[in-house]
Amino acid sequence: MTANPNLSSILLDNVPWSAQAPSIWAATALTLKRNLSRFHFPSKMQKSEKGQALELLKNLLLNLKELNGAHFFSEEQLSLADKELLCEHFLMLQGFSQPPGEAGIVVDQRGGVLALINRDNHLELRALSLSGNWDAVWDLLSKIEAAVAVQSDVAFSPKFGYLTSDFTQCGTGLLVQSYLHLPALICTNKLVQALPKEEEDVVAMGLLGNLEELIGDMLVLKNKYTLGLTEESILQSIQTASSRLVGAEKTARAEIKEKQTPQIKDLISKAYGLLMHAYQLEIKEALGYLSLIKLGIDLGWISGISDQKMSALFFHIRRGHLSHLFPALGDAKELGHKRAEFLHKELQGITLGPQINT
Amino acid sequence: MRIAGVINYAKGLMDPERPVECGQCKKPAKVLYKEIIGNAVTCTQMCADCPVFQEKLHGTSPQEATASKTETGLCCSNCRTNFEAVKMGNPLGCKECYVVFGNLLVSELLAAGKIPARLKKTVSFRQGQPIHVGRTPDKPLNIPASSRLNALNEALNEALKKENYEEAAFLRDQIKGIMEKSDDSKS
Repeated sequence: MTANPNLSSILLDNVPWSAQAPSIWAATALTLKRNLSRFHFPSKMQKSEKGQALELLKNLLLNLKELNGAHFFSEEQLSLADKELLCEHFLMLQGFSQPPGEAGIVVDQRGGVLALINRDNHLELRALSLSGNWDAVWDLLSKIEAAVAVQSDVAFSPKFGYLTSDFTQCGTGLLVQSYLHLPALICTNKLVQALPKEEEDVVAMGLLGNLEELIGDMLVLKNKYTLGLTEESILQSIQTASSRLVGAEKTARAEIKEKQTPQIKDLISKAYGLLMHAYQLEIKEALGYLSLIKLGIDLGWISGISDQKMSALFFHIRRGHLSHLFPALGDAKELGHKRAEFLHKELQGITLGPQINT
Repeated sequence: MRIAGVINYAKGLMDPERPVECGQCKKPAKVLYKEIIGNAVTCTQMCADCPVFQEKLHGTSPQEATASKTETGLCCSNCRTNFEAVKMGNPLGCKECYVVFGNLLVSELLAAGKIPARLKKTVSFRQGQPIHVGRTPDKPLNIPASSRLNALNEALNEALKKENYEEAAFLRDQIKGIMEKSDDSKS
């Protein structure tokens, strides 16, 4: 363990997609929920019991070679801005509820693995893969989980599997989410046909938790069940549904490119105009326009910016990230204005290709 | 000093940059609850009927109050968790809750659609039998590359059968990636 840096500096130094641009299957997040057998679950723990569990898990995780260079932050050390960054990096799903004391997080030095201690469960391990290839992060989670189980018995019953404080998550205690970028399917109104069917073990939603509003053309697939299925079949069902959507998106992009669809050219050129010249941009509209520009780059209709830089903007323009760039940010209007200003600067140099300009 | 304030979100005004689930019971958040104690400010998003929200407003959730008055609720003797409160979205308090509330939890899981449809009959008729089919603590969680390759090959054949060539190409790339990785680890 090294001296504790700032959580925000770990996250801001490791903005997803800034090193490698995402493909259509942009990221996969795996979460394992576990409780220790010898303690009550967090909601019923006494402060002293919570303190013991926290110390045990914190020391165990910080000494694991798999989490070399990881850092611990107590709940009290985490600011609202830190939690916002964690949510924006897909690492935390519900960052704003405050557990009462003796809780904290462990983050690895790349900002890709997060362990929540004493929140809803004693331990929630979450790891992010910035692609559809989840093997490495699954191996990592398995190793961490095994190390925990060696040190302390994990709450388990043969009937319900791993016991979680929310009984609808018992069994494997495994939550898998795949993040898919599907602008072509959405623009051509072909998404509905490609969505998982009712009988599949997978459910689709947007970043806001519903299908009605797909911010940034991003679709999230997650497993419906944690109980009654094996870990392999949960991962496989996400793999199958995601691969089908990736295939459908690629087909839709190829068709747009072949047909040179005027409506899509219009959408992309309008997105370009608004991103380059708008005075204020709300997050939803900004992400929507960036998604179209990214599609334009993939189709070869836009040039002058690297795919990585373009992709990292997906994170940089969100409030948590922007507030680090502009610490004195005021109300939503000022935020929108600063976001627009930031985008004008970052997107300088992008040009519409002859396919759109003529 | 403790000051608490509540803001109701009107439909459509939900801030897209914040998590949208109730921090306590995972239903869509409708209320922002802000609590100021001394210099510490805590913001929590909750659904309108969240028992934790009711508890913060009234000191106790209406359901819990009823249960304690009528004393009809089944209760875990180890942690004093009341089943009525669990049904309202409160968490379980300990591993014993799974023993005390066992069959009731199965009914709730079935009602909430949290057990795969193909298992529903088996679960209903064979109470007491394990529902969990995943790994156990004595078995490692790692998934062998061979089992992953088998599944991907199956998916590839299915995609080719349906003439989904883009999907097939994507699956082929994934298979190739795994095979290359396993070759690297062997050499």
